[in-house]
Amino acid sequence: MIADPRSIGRDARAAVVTTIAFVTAVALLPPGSYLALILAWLLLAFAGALLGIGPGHLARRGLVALPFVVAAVPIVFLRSDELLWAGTIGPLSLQVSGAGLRIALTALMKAWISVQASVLLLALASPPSIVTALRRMRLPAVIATSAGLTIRYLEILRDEARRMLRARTARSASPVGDGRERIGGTISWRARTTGSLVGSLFLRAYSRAQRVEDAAASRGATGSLSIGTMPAADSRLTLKVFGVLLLVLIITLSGALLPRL
Amino acid sequence: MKEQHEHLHTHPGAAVPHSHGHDHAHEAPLMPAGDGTIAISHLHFRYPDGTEALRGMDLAIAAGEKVALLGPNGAGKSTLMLHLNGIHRPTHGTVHVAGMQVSNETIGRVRAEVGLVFQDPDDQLFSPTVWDDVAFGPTHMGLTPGAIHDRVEVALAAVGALDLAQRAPMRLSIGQRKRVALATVLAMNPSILVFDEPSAGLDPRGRRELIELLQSLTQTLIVSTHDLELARAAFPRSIVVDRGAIAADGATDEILANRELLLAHGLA
Repeated sequence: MIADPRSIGRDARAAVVTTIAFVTAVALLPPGSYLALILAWLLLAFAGALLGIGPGHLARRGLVALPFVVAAVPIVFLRSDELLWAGTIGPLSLQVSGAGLRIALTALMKAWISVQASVLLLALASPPSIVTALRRMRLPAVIATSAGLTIRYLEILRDEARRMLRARTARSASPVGDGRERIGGTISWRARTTGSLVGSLFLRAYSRAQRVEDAAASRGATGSLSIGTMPAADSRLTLKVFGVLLLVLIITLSGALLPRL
Repeated sequence: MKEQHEHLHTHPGAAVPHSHGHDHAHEAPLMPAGDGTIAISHLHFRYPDGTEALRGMDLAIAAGEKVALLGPNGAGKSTLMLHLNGIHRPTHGTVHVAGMQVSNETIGRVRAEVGLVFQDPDDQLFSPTVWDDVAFGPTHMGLTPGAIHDRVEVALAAVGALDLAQRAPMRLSIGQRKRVALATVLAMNPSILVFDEPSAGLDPRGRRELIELLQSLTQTLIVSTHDLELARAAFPRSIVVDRGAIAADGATDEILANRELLLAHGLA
């Protein structure tokens, strides 16, 4: 698509702008623009293929968006227009709205496609280069610094979580008794234990954040992360911006011109 | 430490005072079911990224033995220890602990027999109070509230931390946290205890107390350490591990006297 894959020292602005523009164009498509959404996904799958990412892999990675669009499901039952079905299930009186179904399905597809666009961005540019690009695009320093530190310490937090889970697993034994024990404790006890583990991880993250801040302050940090030497500006940035505009135009026009279902 | 040693000598299998009026009808026996032995045969292990961490290890450890695993960083000591508890499974070869081959069928009982004490106590301590943390293992094992209470009390007393029971683990000193981490596995009455770098981060007094504690434990003990003095003080047998294989196995005094061996394996 744009720029060299996984390049840390390259200007990633074009990749960032393309992703933001693509996601915005997809998000603005009206409900029922399934054909336009399929076209957007095909563009994405083509770009993925150029980067060596298969469409199946890309589609599976996009599924992480599903839990976040659960919020759109109630609209299927809350809207009263284009009634498809109405009836009672047990004590509940329900109705399924065609318009609501269309909105929910469109939201689901948009989220799925947008996540895949983010996956492609990460395949194109390393996280530090994305942060650098955001700084270069005049993103407020505090946001860029937060993003940079999050990327830096997320990996460490993940390792801490992994070690804690491993230590818990090591003590998850079955009884050496008469076999009548309730192995694994009750569900509420397990939930409490998991909650404690998550809480403990949060406290450790908080405590680490304080230590990092102290260490940075002791070296004269003023609140914004140094981004070091800027990579050379992308000489074809203008051309790529036109490419991005064309991409947005294609998606928007397809949303307007292709029939909606 | 004197009082705590008296407690420690009662492990494993000590009769626990039943003075709390709890229901002990379903209480599990406190004596570990296993015999504390370890037998490893042709153990190979490869991480998913292709790194070959263990390259054909054979090892036999008798019940009650105290063995130090010595070796440079990345030698495979921690990987070996994680096999003893079934966290890692062999790519080839077998691991038997307490008379059981580590497998999906035995994993629950294996974890009751092998207590792993990790290098960083914070990995092990995640509950709001010390008491809750020590109770995790026995609760997971499905013991009755009375049995859990007794085990927690004995384990905390064994490490001299009974007075810390209601404290938050994160508010304790590193030495206290290490002792509580040991209590979390003692409460499960294991016949084998495995420690990863137990003396790391301890001040001289904490280190001396740790050595006394380790000397007093009656379970089979395996310790991964770079602390040669700790090995000399508490572990009659030492095994030098390097590049995923056993480079030397013998009396600790003899191994530590062999400067050439220590230099060859990054220990001096």
